[in-house]
Amino acid sequence: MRLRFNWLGLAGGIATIVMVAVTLFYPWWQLRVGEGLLTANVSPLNTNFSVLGTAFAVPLVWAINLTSMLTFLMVGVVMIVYSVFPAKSYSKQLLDFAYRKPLYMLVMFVIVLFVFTLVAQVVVRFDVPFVGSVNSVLRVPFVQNTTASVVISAEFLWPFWLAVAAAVLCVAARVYHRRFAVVPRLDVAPVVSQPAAPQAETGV
Amino acid sequence: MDKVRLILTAFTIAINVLPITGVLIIYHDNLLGLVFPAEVSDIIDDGVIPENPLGNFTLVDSQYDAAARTVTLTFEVTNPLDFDLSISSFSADVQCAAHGFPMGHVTLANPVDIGAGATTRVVIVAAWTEAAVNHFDTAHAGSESIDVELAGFSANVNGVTIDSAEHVRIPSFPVG
Repeated sequence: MRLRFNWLGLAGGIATIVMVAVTLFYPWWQLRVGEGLLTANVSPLNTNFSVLGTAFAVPLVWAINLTSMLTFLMVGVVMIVYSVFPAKSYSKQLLDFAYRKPLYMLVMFVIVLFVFTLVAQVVVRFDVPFVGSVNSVLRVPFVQNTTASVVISAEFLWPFWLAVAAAVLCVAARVYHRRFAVVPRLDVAPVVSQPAAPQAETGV
Repeated sequence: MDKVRLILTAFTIAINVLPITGVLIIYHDNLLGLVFPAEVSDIIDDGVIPENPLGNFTLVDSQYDAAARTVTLTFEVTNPLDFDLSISSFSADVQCAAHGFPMGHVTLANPVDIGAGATTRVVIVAAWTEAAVNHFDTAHAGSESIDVELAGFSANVNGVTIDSAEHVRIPSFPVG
């Protein structure tokens, strides 16, 4: 019996699990204000903040992150199981469950991040870059003729690109799955065509 | 086939419901704590910015260089904040508080880091113009220190540049 793996799916599943492990330590996107004034380490799996050296996480965001982390872990495991048995009857269900989720999560993350930076600019009137650095200037409250300007920089870090790679591999695995598409087998005996028997003449 | 779908659906529901339910149970008597953690409250309550955010400035040394018309002032500065301060630059124009006469410029000699609650020596150099020296000799003859005003200043602390056009009065500033 020849083993046939969906190698793209296997790579996607492993990349997803590695990405989960890496994201525990490194964020996808980092925002830095001044020199250690404020740092936001953001990813769908682990988000925390550091204000003036005090590090903290928001409990509600932590719970959402935990949900995302478990989802990604499940996607990784399901992708690996599918990839090892791509031609089983249940394989398509496993693949359909898993292959879209990393891509959806990635797109959602980018959209939420973009909206957050826009909201910060419109509502708080504070320039928060999506990517790159800006020099934000604000008037110091209660002190006349005084402004404070601070460099705010934001960037996507390498775990984000690992997540992009994992999402692409998972989608590619779906495309590659067509090779394992099960051809319906007919377990009935072939019908042998026989010459039609001459109809018996019926005497009336 | 249905069994696989059932298992995946059950896991998905559990993964989505349990963490949120967990924190809701933990924070059921403090729902605000869900979005404002205790650390944020501590930062606000403990007063990261105390009543005297500039800390204590104590002049410990003053040296006048007549040839260069500079006064080198050494202060002991205590950081009253709960976080480290990194002062990269400080500069200001100085004028005589009594006469509004422009005297020169003060700058921070070297960038300085002051740890949370720590005391460090900060050196500031004041460079007087020739006209300022003449002003001391005529309007403040015999005085070793006069009241001055910082006519606007610029400082960079922890990467934040503060520019102010406000006049800040400093009493008994050593001038020579």
